[in-house]
Amino acid sequence: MSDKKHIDRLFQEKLKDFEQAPDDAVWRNIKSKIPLDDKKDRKLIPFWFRLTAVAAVLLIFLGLGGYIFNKSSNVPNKQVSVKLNNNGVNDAIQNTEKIILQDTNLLKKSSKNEVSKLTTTQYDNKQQVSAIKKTLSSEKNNTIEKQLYRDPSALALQKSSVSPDNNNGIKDKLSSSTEPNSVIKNKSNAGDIKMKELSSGSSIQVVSENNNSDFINDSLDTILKADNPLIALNEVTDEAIAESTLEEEASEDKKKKKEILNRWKIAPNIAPVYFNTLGTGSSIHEQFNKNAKTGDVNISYGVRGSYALNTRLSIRSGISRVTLGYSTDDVFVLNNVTATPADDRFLLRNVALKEESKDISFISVEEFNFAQIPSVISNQIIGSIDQKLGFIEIPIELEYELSREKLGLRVLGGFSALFLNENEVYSSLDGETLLIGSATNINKTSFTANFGVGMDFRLSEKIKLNLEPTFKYQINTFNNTSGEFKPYFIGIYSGFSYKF
Amino acid sequence: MSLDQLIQKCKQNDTKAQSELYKLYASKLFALCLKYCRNRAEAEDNLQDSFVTIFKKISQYKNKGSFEGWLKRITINTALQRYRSKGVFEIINEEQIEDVNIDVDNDEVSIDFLLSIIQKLPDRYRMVFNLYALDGYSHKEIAEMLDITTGTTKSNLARARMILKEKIITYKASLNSQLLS
Repeated sequence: MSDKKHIDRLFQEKLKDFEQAPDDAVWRNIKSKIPLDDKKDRKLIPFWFRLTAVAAVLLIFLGLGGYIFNKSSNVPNKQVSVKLNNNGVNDAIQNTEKIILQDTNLLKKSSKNEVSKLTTTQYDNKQQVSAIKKTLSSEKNNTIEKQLYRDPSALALQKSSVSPDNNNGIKDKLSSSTEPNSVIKNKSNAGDIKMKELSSGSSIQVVSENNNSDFINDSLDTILKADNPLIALNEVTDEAIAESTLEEEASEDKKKKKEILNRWKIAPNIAPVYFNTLGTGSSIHEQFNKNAKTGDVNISYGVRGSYALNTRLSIRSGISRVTLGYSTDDVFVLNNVTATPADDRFLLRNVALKEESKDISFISVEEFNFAQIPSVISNQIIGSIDQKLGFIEIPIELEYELSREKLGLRVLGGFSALFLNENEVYSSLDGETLLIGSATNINKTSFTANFGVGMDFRLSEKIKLNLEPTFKYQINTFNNTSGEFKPYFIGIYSGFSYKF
Repeated sequence: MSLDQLIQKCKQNDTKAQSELYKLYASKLFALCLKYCRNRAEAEDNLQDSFVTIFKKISQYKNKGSFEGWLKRITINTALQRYRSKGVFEIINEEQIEDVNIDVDNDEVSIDFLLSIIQKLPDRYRMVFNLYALDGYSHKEIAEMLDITTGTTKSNLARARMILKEKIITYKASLNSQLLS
């Protein structure tokens, strides 16, 4: 004996658990159609994209570095040059801010997409649920979102209770999420976007009002379906939450945000630093321009913190202590030579000598005719002038990750401010060193342009072992130098980084 | 291996994992294809295209919602693409919608028979009936998916139901006459 039943229900009951195995040939065809070279193609594009991004970052820093360097070398006056360099750093900061702004704009754009998606979608009940979901997710209100996912009855409730009031609720939410966007848009001089957003807000209102009649139709459908227990609730939820490609993109953005939830990183580091100069000048006196100079290897140590702007780009700063030293070789150190004050040839122009060292004279070997000096004497009196400098370094750098495998690779560029805190000049003769004074031509504050590559080895999710060879070009550490004195230092920074 | 691990490996284009995933879902999705397509051959084609899309796009699956739901959505979309441009459909008036209740016992009709009459429906009627009656989409969603109005989806659904009902009645009648003779 059978009752009359709805035809839909007959099909639902019969086909509920219907499964059928396809022919084996299907899998063989699929296998041959999953192209392996497709994988290559997909990797190729991001790789070029990465290279372009790296090139752009380097270009920005090179450009800024060149600009600052030209300015500072044209102006001999100490104070003015410091000021100009401050401007340079301001430029750098502004630039970094721009990058950050662009980045936030990207984020905003994705949320704008969500809003405009809302206008293009038709507002039937289910989609309103997903609209609410989207709004909520953009407001990071995960709890309710989760509830919607997990609780089919909550979904049904939401579904059947969409009323004009609810529509207004959605509208309110939308407008509240629109407002902060438009503020930011205003900042980036895109008022027209703001207009669009406003109009999207109003069109939503119109659509939701128009929808009320359709709503009755749909609720009839809902009732019809509720009568049919065979439309398994889970199927409804499955379907309601299954993503269309557009939704996938939105969730991809969300995922990205999640991925870089650990935005902060702290990394104590230590590095051997090697100081030298590119040209043939001298920071002490022009008579030493051609003398051989030996860079010392010293130690730099400090701590660095970084903040991830997105999955690949981070901005970082920190504080470290760096000691630099170098020797000017082949110098005659002569005691008790009465040099007339007018003759500055034998004086160290840029060194303030201590009282007890006042009667020491220094003459470059280059000034003498070697034939005149017996080698016995020359061996004993040829020494060097050693300069030792210590700084507190505060860098601002951008770091771009090229690879995020277990063995990571990244490039970095930026600037450091150096604050002088140690300044000593020694004379060194036959293994004995004597403090003779301090240099007068070192700026209290100076800057370096930094470039480097970093490698890291992931020890755990949070801890990485780092190695970063970095080149730091000193822009205005010395003034009143002679010849082509272009100092730089190279540090091989190593240490652990901790993400949190 | 858990489903999450399997998905992860498929994202890395691991052939073994892809085969595993296929084995896991092929029967379910093939059933879906059989409902949405005109016959077995087209259903196999559709299944094949769906899986190719699934493996290409699996990296876009972000664990939002059920994985099976995601697979079904892709399979259905593939079928919709397949029949999208085909056929012109008559539009019937609302008054033509008749009573769609039917006097039939579950045991009287086989799955194969029901499937065969679904497959014989004109393309869009089949799509609309499947989407609405079997996969729980609303008229609004269907209208959007097929780029038609809700009026059209409703009339398509009504027409599909009528055709199916007629076929079941005819079938029952032939069964009864066979029994009598």
